[in-house]
Amino acid sequence: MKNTLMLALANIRKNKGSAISLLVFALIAATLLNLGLVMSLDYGKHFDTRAEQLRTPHVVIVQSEVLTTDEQKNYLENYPGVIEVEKQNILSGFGDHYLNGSNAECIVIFANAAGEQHMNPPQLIGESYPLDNESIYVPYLMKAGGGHDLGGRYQINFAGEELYFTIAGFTEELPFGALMNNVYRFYVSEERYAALAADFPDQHACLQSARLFEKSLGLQLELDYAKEFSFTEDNEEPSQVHSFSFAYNVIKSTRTMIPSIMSIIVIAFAVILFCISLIVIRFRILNSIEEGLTNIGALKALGYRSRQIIISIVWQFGGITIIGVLAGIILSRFFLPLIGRILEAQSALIWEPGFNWGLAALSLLFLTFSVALISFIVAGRIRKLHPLIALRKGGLTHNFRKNRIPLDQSYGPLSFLLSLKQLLNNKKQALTIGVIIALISFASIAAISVYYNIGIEQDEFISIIVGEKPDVNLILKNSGDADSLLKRLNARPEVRKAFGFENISLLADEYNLNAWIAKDFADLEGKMLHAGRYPKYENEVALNGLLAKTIGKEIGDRIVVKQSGAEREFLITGFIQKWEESGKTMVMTYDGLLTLQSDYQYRCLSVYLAKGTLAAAFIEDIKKAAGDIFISTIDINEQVDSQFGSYGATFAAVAFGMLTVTVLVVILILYLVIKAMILRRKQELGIQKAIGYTTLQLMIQTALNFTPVVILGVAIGGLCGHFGFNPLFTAIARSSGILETHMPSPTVWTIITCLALIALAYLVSMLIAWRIRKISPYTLVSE
Amino acid sequence: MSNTILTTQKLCKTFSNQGLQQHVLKNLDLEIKGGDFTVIMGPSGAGKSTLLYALSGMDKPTLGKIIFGGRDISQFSNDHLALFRRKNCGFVFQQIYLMDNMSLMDNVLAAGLLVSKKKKTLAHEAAALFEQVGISEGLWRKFPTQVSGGEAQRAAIIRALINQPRIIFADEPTGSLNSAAGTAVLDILSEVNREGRSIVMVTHDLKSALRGNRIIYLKDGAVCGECNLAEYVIEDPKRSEQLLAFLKEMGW
Repeated sequence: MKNTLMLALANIRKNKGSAISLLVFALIAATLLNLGLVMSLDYGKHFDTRAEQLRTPHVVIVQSEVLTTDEQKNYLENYPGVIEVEKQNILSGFGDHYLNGSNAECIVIFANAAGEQHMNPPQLIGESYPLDNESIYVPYLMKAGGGHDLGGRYQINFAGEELYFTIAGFTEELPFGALMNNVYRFYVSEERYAALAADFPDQHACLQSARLFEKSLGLQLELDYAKEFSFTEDNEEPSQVHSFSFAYNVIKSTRTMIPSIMSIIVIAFAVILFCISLIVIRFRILNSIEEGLTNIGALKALGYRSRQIIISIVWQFGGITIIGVLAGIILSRFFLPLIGRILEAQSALIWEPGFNWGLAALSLLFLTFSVALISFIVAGRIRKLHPLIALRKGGLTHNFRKNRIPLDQSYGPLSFLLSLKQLLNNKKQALTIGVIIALISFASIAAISVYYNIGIEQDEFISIIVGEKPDVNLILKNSGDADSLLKRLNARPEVRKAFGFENISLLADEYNLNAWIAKDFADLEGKMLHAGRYPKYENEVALNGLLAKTIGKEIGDRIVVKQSGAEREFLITGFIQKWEESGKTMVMTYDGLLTLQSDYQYRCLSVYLAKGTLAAAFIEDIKKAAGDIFISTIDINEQVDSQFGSYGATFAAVAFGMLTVTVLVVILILYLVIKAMILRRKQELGIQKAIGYTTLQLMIQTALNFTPVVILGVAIGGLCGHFGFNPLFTAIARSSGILETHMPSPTVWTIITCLALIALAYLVSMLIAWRIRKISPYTLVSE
Repeated sequence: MSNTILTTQKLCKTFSNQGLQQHVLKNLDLEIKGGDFTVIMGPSGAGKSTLLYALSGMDKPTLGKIIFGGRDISQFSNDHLALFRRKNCGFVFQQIYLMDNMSLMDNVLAAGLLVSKKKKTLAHEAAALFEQVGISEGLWRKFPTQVSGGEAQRAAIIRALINQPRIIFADEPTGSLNSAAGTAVLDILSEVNREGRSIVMVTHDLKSALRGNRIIYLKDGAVCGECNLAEYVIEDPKRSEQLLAFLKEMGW
């Protein structure tokens, strides 16, 4: 043990540069793996913990006050597994809130701060003021991602009216208060609540909340409640805009979606890096065996057993890994608060992860064990090494090597031919570098795809999330105004097209779905359709592909849809995709819905403007022209910018981090390989210098030596990244109903990134090869 | 003087190691003439190899000048020296130093192509030289580890000759060879010299030294004495007697 440790330390001392490079590899891999694991496992757990601490309901149901009955409350109280039910009077309706200066459509809930509330009571974060008639407590998102400060003016549109408040505090909201849910609860003083209730008699609603023994049962309760009450003949306005419900699992999955995607990306990247580390370790071990062949021979001649020498190598690399992993775990501890702050802007969840001993130990064990195992396996070839052969540097009297690229029979510049010879003589090394460069190129292009599609050109990503993205959404106070307004809108020259398009809840095959209704789906410009075709006739629907698979439906099958107590069979004409919990979404024609609910009319109109028309100016115009008929008018691009802008920043940070690591890895790999190569070829380089080769020629020769492999690796990795990212992203997003994505990195970006990687590799090779200048022919002969 | 191709003026070489200085060459003045076969002899540590590598531009002197073809090469940069070496110098080392990842032919062409871009002509020239030293095509396509030491050293001489340098520097060229192989190598060097090329050779070996027509004896970094053997043919016993007498005088 003492001897093997001594040998390991001697090897580390001898190759300090390589040891440091491996340490950096282990550090980066451990940092990323630990970050990914903590994000993946701790974020959701933290959400659950906070939910328990705040007594967050497992189901929330918001309905018109007139529709809420004691029978419903009794149903909730007697539902199996329910431990607590609470009913509160609130005001609820469509509105706009302002994030970073842009208005965004949302559902607004006003609650009386002085009212009794046991479940998720108003929990103020940071400094706050007592409420008065002019002030308001707003969800923490408004601060974390909305640019609002304590004491600042707060404007909100509620049911078509602009209201103004002063921010007196920020609340920690779990059910209502994140971008993806788009439902926000605001607390006002008792007096102000009473005044609002008087001003908005149509917005009186009830919030029914329930907690269960098992929170995951919330989804079933929501479904059963909907079946029991929301779709009966007694319910006159089932699709009333402020009637909605959320189950705990849905809330959790939407609020932890971005951290989930991020953690998957980070873990995937960590795994790629770790694979690279293992390849590098294998290369280093083989190299160190080759370099220290005479030492191994001497040790064996002295009586060291192969096992002892192998264990010393395992110590050498295992030891470096342990130190690197420990440093990485500590480093990740410093990065976590930074990530927590980045995520806050979307999730509005204060996440301050502590040191997770379990995950740290898992990272340490996994990484160290893998390195020790690979070291043990690779170093195993020492067993076959005879001491005499080792002492003779492995040379055999006879060998049958072939002379590849004979100079007298080959064409091309001398440096190129010599580098090609070198490359062919070191095929395994070339393969190692090629694989590493391919992996790293794949990760780079994936990072570019993430950044470009979520950070810059968000159309495809937004299309996945929101389905359809018109320029303006108009929400009417009275659905009876829809047809006449649509006629007027379509007659306007600045309007390219306008049509009704909105979502309602209904039951299909016992699943509570979000159904999108349009008269003619040919009008849609989004990419919701995945297979088959959109419904054309009143007996047709298109289902989310994932849901269809879950319930075993194919195109051409039939499905029973229930709404307002009526039910009928529809033909499935196609599969759609849209980001929705478990893909619970479908599309249906307006005429089709009329067969279930004859009095149905649109309240939400989608407007597509002619090129060059400003949405803000159009909204002003239409408000003047149509009068006070709107609950809300939304500039969708502005809304998307404010909602998705922060995603861009988050994923830009992720992509930047990945690209930085990529550059670092390329530098480290080439440093390790070229340094080892120069050491090994010191004599040869000395001879070349002696016969008249200049340092620059030898540097070019060395750099060119790797260029074909780098080009090949980049090409393979780049192509896989370009074409393979979408299947990968689809696999990640599949649980949310996404079956196909088209979010590649733009071809030009891919090409530029690949060229940049090749140039970087060449430049780095030249810089590292600059150490050749130190090799003098005299050193060669004097050695 | 017009025949002189290389002179040194007060050539000094000092090595420093951990504050300790070792003066290996001390104010050495030397002249090498065109067509000379100069042999440098002396006890171990006298500075023979150091002188050889300084003269050939493989190492830089600490002080003094090395005038080669009228230019002071001691002032050249490393890359300039490399360009100088490839055109003017050929090297034959004791350890042979062929690049073991290249065939014998490729070793020769790797040097030749630095100066000439006419690959075919060069390959023909190299092939002719190989034939001349008794290495057939079957052998020159092999790697250095696949041929004998003598064959490898003969290939090294061809590598040294391929660019038709003005001077060939040889450092103990027979040191790692058996007697027969050593003699073959010396025969080639003698032949090369007869064709008019200057040779500067460092050796401990009497048999090798006899091939030279001028013997310089180095001691403690300075020229201790010089002996001219040009007046005797190689086979003449007086040549060896003269050399032995000189070496005895030098305290060899």
